[in-house]
Amino acid sequence: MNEITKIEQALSSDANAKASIGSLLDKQRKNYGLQPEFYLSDHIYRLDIEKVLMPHWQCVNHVSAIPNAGDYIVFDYDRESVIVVRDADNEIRSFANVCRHRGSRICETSGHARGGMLICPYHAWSYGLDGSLAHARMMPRDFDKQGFGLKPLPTKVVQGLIFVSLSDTPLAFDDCEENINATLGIYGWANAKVAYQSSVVFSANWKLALENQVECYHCAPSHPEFSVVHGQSTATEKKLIAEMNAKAAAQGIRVETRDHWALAALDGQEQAYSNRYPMTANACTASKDGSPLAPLMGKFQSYDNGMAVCYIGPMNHCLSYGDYGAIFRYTPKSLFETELAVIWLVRGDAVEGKDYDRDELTWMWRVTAGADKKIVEDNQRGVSSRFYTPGPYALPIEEKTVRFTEWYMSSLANAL
Amino acid sequence: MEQTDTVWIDVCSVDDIDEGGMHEFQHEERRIVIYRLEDGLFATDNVCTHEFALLSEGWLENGTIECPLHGALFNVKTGQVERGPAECALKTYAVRTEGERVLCSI
Repeated sequence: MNEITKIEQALSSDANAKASIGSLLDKQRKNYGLQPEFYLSDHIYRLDIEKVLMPHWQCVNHVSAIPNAGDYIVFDYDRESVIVVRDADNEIRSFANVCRHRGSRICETSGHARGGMLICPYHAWSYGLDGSLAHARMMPRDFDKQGFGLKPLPTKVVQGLIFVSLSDTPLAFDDCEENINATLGIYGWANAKVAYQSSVVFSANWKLALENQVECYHCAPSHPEFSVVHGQSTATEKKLIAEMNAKAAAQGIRVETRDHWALAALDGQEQAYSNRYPMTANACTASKDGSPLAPLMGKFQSYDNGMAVCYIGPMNHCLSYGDYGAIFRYTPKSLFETELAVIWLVRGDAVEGKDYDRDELTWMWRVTAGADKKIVEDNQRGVSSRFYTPGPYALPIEEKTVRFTEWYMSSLANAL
Repeated sequence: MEQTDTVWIDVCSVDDIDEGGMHEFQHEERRIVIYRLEDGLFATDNVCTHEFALLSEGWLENGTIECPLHGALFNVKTGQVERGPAECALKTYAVRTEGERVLCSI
């Protein structure tokens, strides 16, 4: 019997699960990678979803992706699916994508609710954009439709970003809202528009994808394109940071930073983090050679040769350069499947083909996300080997990965 | 030249349609439904403009017909959509009586 079969057996009874996971957590060495079971056990994956991740918020998209009343997005998350729709009053609403008749998935993919109705394809129960059941075919005339509206989900829109929670008791969002306004707000995200979006599925556990996302130790060897234009924590970085801040200050711009991320999250609040990083010398933005790509956004009148990052919860990472933004959203699909959606934003009035070239705009992060898929999948293959033993993180450059895994283990321990 | 003269079709007897009731018929490829309201007889296409469903199997109330499939609501006098998911109005037809007979113009 291999190790994973053993742990799955041990975990199959609730009484044993606590002790088994507890002993795994006890085995964990500080500043070392996670034990293999955390990447391989289906039982732990279910706990991850239901206990660790469920209270957190997910960024679905930018409001410009659904510009007209009736436009909707289908957002799938593990076994769950959400319909995010713009209603007749321009309000963004979210509903569980589950028919109140017999539970069928209602909308398969994003689209437009023709005639203002979301219609279940199974038996044609029809819902209004406010989620109310408008028509239930062949049901008795006196059937009380009021009790059978779609289940609404907590939804927030901040700086044009749409967030949903699948939890009945989501974390408070105030700290994140403040943080987003103080960072992405400066870059004018509320008035941005989606220029392009793509998604790639990593055949890997969600934690490996996130561990990779939050460290740049791998950037030099794995992302040569990225490394040409992004600062690399070198001796010259301090000077570049000072120059970036001076260029921003000269325009009257101050982008706040905050670190309420991972275990530093405020009590009861969603994790909020923001920071600023310099580009390499003279690089304006994340393009092949650092040249500008699109009209400047928000308050920027000129490039400050820097960028801002803003994390919302554990799974949503936003970057903003002077002329474009990118949302990175990780979504667990199953134990060994994690989707990375990348959504590129430009200034709302920018015209494709005139003000920006879509291929050039998206090149850096298409290439970099593609490379991330490969390295994360290779990582999954490696940790699946019986020869894997957790190794030491490189500090300080992998400090955020340490913080991520510490937050994860703490959340799991609290859930037991 | 295309024939534009109105053709009146003899559809049924007035007694064939109850007050507040409907009568469907087919003329060549066309499916039509006649509604009998308090203030007269009206006719529209019998197929919902949203997806295929016969309105004559739906619910006639207060001068509106509710499609049985997705609940689209149409004004039977004007054909206008009063509630989605249909987005296009129904074609309407003139109806008159001649003695006991109901005639519909095609």
